Amino acid sequence: MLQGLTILTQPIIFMQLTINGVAMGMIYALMAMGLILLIRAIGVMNFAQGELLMLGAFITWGLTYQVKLPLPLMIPAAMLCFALVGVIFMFLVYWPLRNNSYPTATVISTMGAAMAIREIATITWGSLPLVAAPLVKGVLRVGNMRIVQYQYLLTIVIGAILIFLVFMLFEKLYAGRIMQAAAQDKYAAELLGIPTILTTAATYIIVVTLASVGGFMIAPVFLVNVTLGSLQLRAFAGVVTGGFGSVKGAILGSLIIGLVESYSSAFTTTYKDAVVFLVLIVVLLFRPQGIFGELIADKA
Amino acid sequence: MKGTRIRLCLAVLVAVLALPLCSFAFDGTVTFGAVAPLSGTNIMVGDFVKNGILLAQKHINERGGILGKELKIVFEDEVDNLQASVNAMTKVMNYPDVVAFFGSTYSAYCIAASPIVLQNKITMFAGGSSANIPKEKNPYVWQVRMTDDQSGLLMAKAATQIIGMKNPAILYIQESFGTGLMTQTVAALKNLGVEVKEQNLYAHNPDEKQFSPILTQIMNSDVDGLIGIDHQMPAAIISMQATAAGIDLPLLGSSSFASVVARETAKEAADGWMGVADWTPDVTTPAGKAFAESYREEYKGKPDSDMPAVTAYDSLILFAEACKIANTTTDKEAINNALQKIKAFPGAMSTYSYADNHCFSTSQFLTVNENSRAVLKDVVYTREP
Repeated sequence: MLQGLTILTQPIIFMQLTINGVAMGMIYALMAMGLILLIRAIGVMNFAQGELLMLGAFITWGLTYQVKLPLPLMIPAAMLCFALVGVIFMFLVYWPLRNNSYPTATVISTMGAAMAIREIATITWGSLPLVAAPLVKGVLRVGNMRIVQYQYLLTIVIGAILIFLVFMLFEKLYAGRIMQAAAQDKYAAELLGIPTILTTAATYIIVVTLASVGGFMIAPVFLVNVTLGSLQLRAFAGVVTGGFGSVKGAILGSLIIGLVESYSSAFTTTYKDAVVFLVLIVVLLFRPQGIFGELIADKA
Repeated sequence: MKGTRIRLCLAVLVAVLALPLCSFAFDGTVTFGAVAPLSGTNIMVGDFVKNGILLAQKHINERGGILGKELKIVFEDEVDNLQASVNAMTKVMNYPDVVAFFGSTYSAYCIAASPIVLQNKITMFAGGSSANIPKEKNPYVWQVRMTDDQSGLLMAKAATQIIGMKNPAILYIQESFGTGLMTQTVAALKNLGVEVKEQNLYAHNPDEKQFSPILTQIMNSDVDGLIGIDHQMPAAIISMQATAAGIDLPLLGSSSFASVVARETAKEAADGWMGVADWTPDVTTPAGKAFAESYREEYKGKPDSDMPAVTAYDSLILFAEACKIANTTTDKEAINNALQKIKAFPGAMSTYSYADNHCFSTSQFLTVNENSRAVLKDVVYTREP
């Protein structure tokens, strides 16, 4: 314990761990935001969120290294692909089951989709990990000390921009308000002439894009491979910590999870994950609705 | 007359074309089972196992099969979890024609299947290297790879006697293989006079990808070297993140750090790692070179041979040898007993000899990664072949 505190009090290490934690927190936040948007829009927890992140990494890798598109062309092409994946995902995984009498059917469907996405990625891109070059090469230094790879800093910046854009969409834009209206009361929205199929599709496109951009950002550091999906557990932890139903909560919760994960490695690497989920248990004990969430009982 | 000549020519042509197809008139078949992760997150390992098994099958059948019988293979998919793996192994054991099989590459799965193997009295070549596999004392379970206790000793010797580490940090994967090999390495280091401090042992979860916080601490500690114990993909990520972090320490890794996956993925970031490896395509023994070259030839355009491939290959070659010694391809008990008579058998990965703990391997390779190649520096023996 004392040794961990000693490590954390070293400014350079503290800075490194903080930047790492915030960068990872941003990745979890992108996934967590998607989870919340889907919960709010259609009431479904998406267990394929991690696989969507993984697919985003594979798609951007494919466009960059197989199609050989330069970055300015690759980005719009990737966005189109993400949108297409979002729509396909919705029509295959959610739409046929939306009126099913068993509400868990759609949740189980997302679990099946996760497995299918993994296998499709393996069949398409092979089983070996793929290497993606960082968007910004190099390492931030203070004097002789290497602080962090620029890719981590870029991840933080891109994550923050995407979060800001999603907030702008829902808070300032008419389209966002339509989506919110459809999510809050689908029946009333349809009576008002809002095409809920389009708002649901738009939600899926946003969800897939957020997760996929996360995959694109971490691919240079974590390699492009089918195990990237395992990151979604931390996003779930972020959602619960921040509070179900709250986008702000999911973001803050994810950043907390990222930082706890990073700082806890100063104390223990063996039980690092246990510390993360211990935080989750503590939050559930003392504030079961999460930091920004409403009481689950109230929602029910 | 002209028609007869044409017919004769055609008959000769057909006979010549058909010659390769019936160069061996096999007298029946012998079936070997193989379990590998053919889908799921470990499919990369499964591909290597499948390639190794199919190459061995090809070589054995080209040489006339086993006691004149054609070798057939049945594969089962163990996916990426314990339950699926045990189910796959149980299924293979219960195929009526299967007389022996290659079990999981993962030690924990092999140990879980061990009681079923004993019940079915069928030879299993375990792909795992855990020292806990021999502790099961299962007469039907055999290991081709060096067990972790022996590897730990070799790693400790390399760390202290070759690199000169006196205060190393150990970064290891927290599962059966990693914890086992770490424990054995720490014990061996202690016997060699190097005490590894508790705070210098860094475990990570099997699905970990973010090693920067750990590497940061290692860099800022007083250690004089880093020992990595891991599987192929984490080994690649660690190599890359260690380079990015600017780690300037002597580096020693378990077999995976010399693997083709780690080297070809991490490229120049993998350079500089010394490895105590089960396999390197840089091998110099005749059997090893023959395997490495024929693998390259057979799987052109695919990654070079790696440990799971050569382990599976050698398991099948040892099985064929045991059949020859026992002079049977059907008597499972006799084939299992014949494995005890294996002595100084030249395999691709090692020279194999029977040992009481059912581990055949007698050596490992000491390698250094240079220009993305695992350059062979020495072959180190743990016992007389």
